[in-house]
Amino acid sequence: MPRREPRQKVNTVTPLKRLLTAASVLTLVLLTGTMIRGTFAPPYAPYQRAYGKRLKQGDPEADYPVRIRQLVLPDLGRVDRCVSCHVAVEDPRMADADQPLKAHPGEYLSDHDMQRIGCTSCHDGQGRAITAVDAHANEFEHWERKRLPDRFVQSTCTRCHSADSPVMMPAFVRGRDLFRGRGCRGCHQLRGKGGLLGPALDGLGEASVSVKMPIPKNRHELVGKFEGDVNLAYIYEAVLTPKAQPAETLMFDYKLSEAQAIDLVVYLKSLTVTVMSEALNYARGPLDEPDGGQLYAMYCSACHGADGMGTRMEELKKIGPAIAHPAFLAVADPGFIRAKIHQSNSSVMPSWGTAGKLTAEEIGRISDYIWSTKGTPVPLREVDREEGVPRFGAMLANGRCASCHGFEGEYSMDMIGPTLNSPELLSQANQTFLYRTITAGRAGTAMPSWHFLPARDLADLTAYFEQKREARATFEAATRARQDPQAARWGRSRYAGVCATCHGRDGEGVIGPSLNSPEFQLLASDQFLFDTITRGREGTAMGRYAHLGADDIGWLITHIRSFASAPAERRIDPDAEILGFESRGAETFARFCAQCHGAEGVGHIAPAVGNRDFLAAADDAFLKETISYGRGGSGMAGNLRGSGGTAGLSERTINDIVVYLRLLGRRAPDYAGLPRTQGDVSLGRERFARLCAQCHGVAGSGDRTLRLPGSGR
Amino acid sequence: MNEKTEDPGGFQELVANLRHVPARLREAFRRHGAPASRRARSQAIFGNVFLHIHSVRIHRWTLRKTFTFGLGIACTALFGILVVTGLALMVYYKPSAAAAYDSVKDIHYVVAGGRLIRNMHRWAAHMMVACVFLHMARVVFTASYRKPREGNWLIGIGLLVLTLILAFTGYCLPWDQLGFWATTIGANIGGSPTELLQSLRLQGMPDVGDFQRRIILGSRLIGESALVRFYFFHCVLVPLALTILVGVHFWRIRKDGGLSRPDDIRPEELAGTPADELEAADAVPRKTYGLMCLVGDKTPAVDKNPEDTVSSWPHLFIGEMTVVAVILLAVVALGLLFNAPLSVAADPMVPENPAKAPWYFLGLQECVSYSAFSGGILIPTLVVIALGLLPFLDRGANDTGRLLGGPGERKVFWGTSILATAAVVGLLAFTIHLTNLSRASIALARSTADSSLIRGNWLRYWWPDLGQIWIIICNPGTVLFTVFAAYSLIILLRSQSVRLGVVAFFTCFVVSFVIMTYFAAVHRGPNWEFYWWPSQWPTH
Repeated sequence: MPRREPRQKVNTVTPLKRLLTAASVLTLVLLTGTMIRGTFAPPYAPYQRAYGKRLKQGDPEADYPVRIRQLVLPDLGRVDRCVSCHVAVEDPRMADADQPLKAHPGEYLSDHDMQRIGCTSCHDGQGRAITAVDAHANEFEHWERKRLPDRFVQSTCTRCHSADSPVMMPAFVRGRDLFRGRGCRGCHQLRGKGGLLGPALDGLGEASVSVKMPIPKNRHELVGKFEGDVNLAYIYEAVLTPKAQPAETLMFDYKLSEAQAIDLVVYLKSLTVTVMSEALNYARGPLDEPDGGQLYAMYCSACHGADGMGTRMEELKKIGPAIAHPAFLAVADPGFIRAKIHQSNSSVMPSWGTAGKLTAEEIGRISDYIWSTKGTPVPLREVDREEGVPRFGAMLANGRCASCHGFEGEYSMDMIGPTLNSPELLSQANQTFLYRTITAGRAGTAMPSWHFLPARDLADLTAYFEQKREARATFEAATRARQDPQAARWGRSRYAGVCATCHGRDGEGVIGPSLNSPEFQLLASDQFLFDTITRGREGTAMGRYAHLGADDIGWLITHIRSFASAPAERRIDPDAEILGFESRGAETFARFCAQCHGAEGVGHIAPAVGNRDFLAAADDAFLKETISYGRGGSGMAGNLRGSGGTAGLSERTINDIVVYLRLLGRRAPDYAGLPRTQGDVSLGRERFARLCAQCHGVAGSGDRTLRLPGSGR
Repeated sequence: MNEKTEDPGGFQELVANLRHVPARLREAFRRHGAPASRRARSQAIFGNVFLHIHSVRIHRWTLRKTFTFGLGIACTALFGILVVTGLALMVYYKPSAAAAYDSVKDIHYVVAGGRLIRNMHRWAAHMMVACVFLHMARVVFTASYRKPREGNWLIGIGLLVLTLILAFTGYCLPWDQLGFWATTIGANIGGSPTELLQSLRLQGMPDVGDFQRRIILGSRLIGESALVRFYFFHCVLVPLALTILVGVHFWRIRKDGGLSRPDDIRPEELAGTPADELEAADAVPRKTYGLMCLVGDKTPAVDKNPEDTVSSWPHLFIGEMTVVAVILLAVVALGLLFNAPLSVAADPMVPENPAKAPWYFLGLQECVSYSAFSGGILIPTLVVIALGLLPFLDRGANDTGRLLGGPGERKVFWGTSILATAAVVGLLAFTIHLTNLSRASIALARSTADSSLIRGNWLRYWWPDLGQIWIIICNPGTVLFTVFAAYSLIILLRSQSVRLGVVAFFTCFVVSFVIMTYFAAVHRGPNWEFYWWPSQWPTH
C-alpha cells in the first residue's frame, strides 16, 4: 500500500530512461545499417553485377557471383584486390567498355603474368583496398603510393627491367637521356655516385610526402594536375620551377619545355628503392657501361656545358670553366685533368674520386674524353708547305710569346719562359723542335700547347726563328781563320766547350758519331764539316751552331782535322756517278739498314740517315764509302761483300741504297706522329745519368736548373 | 522411470512444468518480486552479483549531475568498449613486423565490420585518456582525494599511468609510420637516463637508460621484438592489471563510504535530485548494520539517519546505463564518421619529421625537446610524486565534495589559470626567442665565416660551454615546474591554507598540460622548430 508524500517529487528516472532508450536504439540502428550495407551493398557489387549481366547476354547459363576477387601474390607479399572492380581486365570483349570494366589495353598481360605480378606492381595504389577512393588512394593527401596516372605507369618498369633495357617506353627513354645528358649527377648522387651539392636522388620516386611536396602556393594546382599524386607534383615542380625550392638552393633552371619536364618526371619517378625482379626471379639486365662522353654528359655537363664551353650559372654566381676551350687544353694535360677530377680542391666542384665515388677507370675515361676534344695541330707537312714570313712571325711572337718570353725573346729575370734569343737555344732549335714545342707545349712547365694555331702562323713563327739564327759565318771566312797560327789552340778549347760532350774529347764519339775515324776524316770535306756545324742535323741531337763566328768554326775544323791520325785512303772515286734502282734500294734498306737506322732512315739506335741536312752535306761517294766499308769507332760495319760485315752486299746493291737515300733526301720529313725519341731506354738512362743529371737531377726533377718534362711528378 | 512415463499424471506434470519454465527461469535469477519496496529493492541489489557493485542506498548528493559528470563510469564504459573491440581485433591482427600493417589493412577493408571496430577502438582509446584526465581533475577540484580516500586516490593515479601505458603501447601496433616513430620517441625517453649519466661523466655506471630502453623494446633497435612486446603489454599484461585495479578502485569507493560529500549539505543544494518516493512505504528495518563498522568514516547508516538517501536502483543504475549508452553511441558515431588514422607502412629508413607522440604525450615531448632526461623522466616523476602526495599534505575536512567549494578556491583557480597561462606562454615565447637568436647567430657566422659568432640555444646563448647537467637541471620544463611549485607555496603561505596551495598547483598542472599539448600539436614543425601553422612547414 504505497503512500505518496504530498511534497513535489522530482522524477529523474523517466527522462533518463527515455535518453537511454533513444541512445540504445540509435546505436542499434547504426550498427544494423552498417551491417546491412556491408553485406548487401559492398562497393564493388554494381560493377560485378554489370559484368555478370554482360556475361549472361552471351551465355544464359553464366553465373557470376558477387564477391571479393583478389590476386594473391606470395612472391611479392601482396594482395591486389583491384580486380574486385576491374573484373574484366583479361576479357578482350570488354576492350571498349568504360572503366572499371574495361579490358587492359595493349599486349602487356600476355607477357606480364597477372597471377604473379598483380596490378600494383606497375600501377601502384593500395592493392588491399576495395573502394575506388582508397585503392586509388585519392583520399589520402599524404600517400606515397597513389595509383599512378596512366602516363607515368612506365616509370615502374625499372622495378624489374634495367633502365637500359630495350623494352623501356619512349617517354622514359627521353627522360632518362635528358637526365644523363644534362649533367644532373654533377650535383645529385644516384646509387652512391654523383655530386654532393644537391640531395641524392635514390628513391626520389618514393620520397616521403611529409617532407617532399610542392610549396603551398603551387600545391593545389600541381597536385590537381597529377591526379592527387603529391610525389609527382613535387618532382614536376622541382625540375620545372627550381625557384620554388628553398632560397638557398643551388638548383638552377634548365628552362625545360613542358614535354621535357614530363619526360624527366617519368624518369625521376622511376628512381625507386622497390626492386621486384629478385622476388619474381627475373634476371634484370645490367646498366650499360657509359663511355667517356656519356660520363661527361652525366656528371660534368651541367657546369662545364654540353660542349665543354662552360655554363654561365646565375644561381652559382660563377662560371663553370670552359674545359674544352683550346686555351685551357693548351695548358692542361691529361694527368692534370685526371688529378683535378679526382680531387678538386674546390668549394663548388666535387672531388669525384673521393666524395663523388667515381672509379679511377671512369675518371680516366672522362679525362680522356676531355683531352680528346682538344684539336690535333696541323701536321708539320702542311707547315712546311707554307711560305713563312719572318715579319709576321715577329708580330705573332711579340703578341703571343712575349708575355712569357719577353719581347724579341730577350732575357729578363722576371720572365716566366726561358730566353728565346739565346744562341745556345737557337742552335738546338731546328724547325721540328720549334714545331713540336709550340704545338705540343712543354708538359710540366708553363709552356702551353698552341695546338690550335693555323699552319700559316706556325710557318711564320718558325721562319721568324729561322731568321734569328741564320748563319753569320761563311765558309770562306772560316777557311781564312784557319790561317791563324793559334788556330789549333783556340780550336781545342772551342771543341772542348761545344763538341766534346757528344763527340768525345778526342773525337772518339759518345752519343755523336766519332770524328776521329779515318773513314770520316777521309770522307768529310771541310765544306761538309762547315755545313754540318752551321746547319745542324735535323732529327739528331746535332744542333745548328749558326751563332758561332767564322773564326770559331774555322778553328773547330782545324781541331777536328787534327784527329786524323793515319790518313785513310778513299776507296770510292768521288767523281764516279752512282746509278741504281730506288725500289731495290728501299727493299735492301728496309731489310738491313732499318734495323739500326730506323724505317726510312728516321734513326733508331744509329743516326737518322734519311735526314735532309745530313744528305745535303754528304755526297754520294761519302755514302757509298761508309756503307761499303763502315765507320771506325761506331757500330757501322762494312757491308760490301768481303769487307768484314755480316750483310755482304754487292756493289750494285749498295748503289741502289745510295740512290734510295737520295730519294729520302728529296722528301720532306714528317716527324709528327712518330715517337719523339728513338733509341734504347737503358742506354739513354745511363747516358742521362752521366751527362745530364749534374744539372737536371738524377730523375730529371730539376736540381739547379730545369725540370725536364714529364719527370719528377 | 518407465512406470512414470506411463502415468498420465506424470506426463501432465511434465507439461505443467514446461509451461512454468519461463517463470521459474526468471525466479532462478531474480528471487524477489518487482522491487516495489525498499526491502525488495535492497534484496534485488544484494541478490545480483553485478548490481552488488553499489551499495543499496546512496546519498542524493552523489546523483548531482554536476558533481561527477559521470566521468568515472564513462571511463569504465570506454574501457569496456575497448576490451570488446580489442578482443575482436585480436582475431585478425597479426603481431609481426612483416604482417601487422597488412593485417590492419585487411581488418579495415575486408573483415566484416572491421573498419568500424578498429575506428571505435581508436576513438574510444583517445576518449578514455581524456576522460581519465577529466576524472582526476574532478576529484582534485572537489577535494575528494582527502581522507579516507587517500588509498583510492593512489590507485587512481596508478590507473592513470596504466591507461597511458595502454594507449601508448597500442599506438604502435598497426606498425605504420605514425606509431613506429611515436614508439621510437617513447623508447628514447626511456633511454634518457643515459643523458644524465653522460653529463655527470658516469659512463662507467650501469647504463640505466639503455637498460630501460631494452626493457621497452626487447632489443636495442625498435623492431619485431618490440612489436611482440608491445602486443603482449597492450593485450594481456596492462589490461589485466587495469582490470584488477579498477575492481579495487570500485570496491574502495564503497569501503570509503561512497562518493565524497560535504558535511553541511543545504537542502537547496539537493534540488534536482530524486527524493525517495518509497520513504514511508514500509518501516525502516531495525537492522543493525553492525558489520558496517568495518567501514571507515561516514557511512550512510552508521552515524547518520538514512535521510537524503535513495535506493541505487533505479536512480543510480539508470543514470549509469544512460552514460554507457550515450558513450557507446558517441563511439559508434565517431567510428562511422571518421576513419582511424593509418599512415604508410613503417619504414625505419624514413623518419617522420616531425615525429610526434600521441596527443596526451605532446606536452611531455615539448619538455623532452629541452632535455630528454628532464622532460621524459624527471618532470613526470615529480608530477606523479606531487599528485600522490596531495591527500597527505591536504588533511582538511571542510568542503570536501564541493566543486571548488571552499573559501577562496574559485578565486585561486581563476587567478592561477590566468597567471599560469601567462607564465607558460611567456616562457615558450622566450624559449623560441632564444632559439631564433641562436639561429640568427649561426646564419651570421656562416655568412661572415667567423665561427666565434655562433651562440648556443637557451642558457648556452650566454654560456656556450655550459655542461649538459646544467641544461638538465635548468631548462624551460624544470623552470616552469619550479615556478609553479614556488607559486603554490606562496599561495599556501599567504592564505594559510594547504587546500588553496593544492588548488593552485593542480591548476598550474592543468593549464600547462593543455597549453603545452596545444603548442606542440600545432606550433611545432619539422626538426621541432616553431611555426605558426603547419601550412608554413618547409616542403623540401
